[in-house]
Amino acid sequence: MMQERKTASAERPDDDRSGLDERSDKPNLESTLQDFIGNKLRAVYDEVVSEPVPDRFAELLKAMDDVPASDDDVDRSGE
Amino acid sequence: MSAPGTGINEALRDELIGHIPNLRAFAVSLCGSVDRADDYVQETLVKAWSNMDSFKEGTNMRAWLFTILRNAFFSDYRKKRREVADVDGQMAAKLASHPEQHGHMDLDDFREALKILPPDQREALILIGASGFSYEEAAEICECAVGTVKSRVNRARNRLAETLSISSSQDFGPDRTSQAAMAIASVGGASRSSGS
Repeated sequence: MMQERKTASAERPDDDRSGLDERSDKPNLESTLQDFIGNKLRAVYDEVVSEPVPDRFAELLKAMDDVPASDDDVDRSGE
Repeated sequence: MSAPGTGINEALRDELIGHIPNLRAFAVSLCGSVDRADDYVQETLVKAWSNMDSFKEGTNMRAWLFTILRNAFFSDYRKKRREVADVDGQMAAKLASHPEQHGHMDLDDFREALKILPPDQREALILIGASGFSYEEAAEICECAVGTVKSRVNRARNRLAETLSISSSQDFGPDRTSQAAMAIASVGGASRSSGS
């Protein structure tokens, strides 16, 4: 089975910080703080992203495959 | 552009599977518990599958899935808030009783700090800072204005800075600039040492 794993970092837009410096007159310190928080946040997040998909989901999706998505009249040629 | 006949289910299924790692990361960060997160992911997959006809092909499936998941989470959260009077207060107390550590600040501390954020702020911060959505996409997912997302992200960052500086200011960073940033953020920019 082909599994595509998109990592968050691959899709992160460059304008991550737009609008975040507005309220501050200390952009350098603010951005240091943002970097710190951003790095921690992504570390926590990416840790989960990089985990293998639990078996329960593969099983679930396999079971769901027996039920056609959306329309009832989707033709399934048997397994 | 759905090709009639075979392969539709498999293609959709593969696409769903591809989104699971990010959905899980979002759910774990949002609710703070892996077990509960996986329940939300499961609920999301089932709902997505049974409502696939309401998904417009060619649009952003990831955003659609995130929307389903956060709606499930916030629906539960609102229910629980009615049952338990002070969820946030309890979280804060739990954090405050956390023994003070002067070692290296690890990710657990950050996870705890994340938990005491109001969930709407936490959600905005994750969507923008980790999931990689644009402000516009995040606004659609949260069903709010772009400006609201921005202000939630700002408040989340400020509150995190505050929380982390209280529990582990020593460990904020290896350099003084970092610590200064934290100190300034935690007192709202009131103290300054430079200039006359």
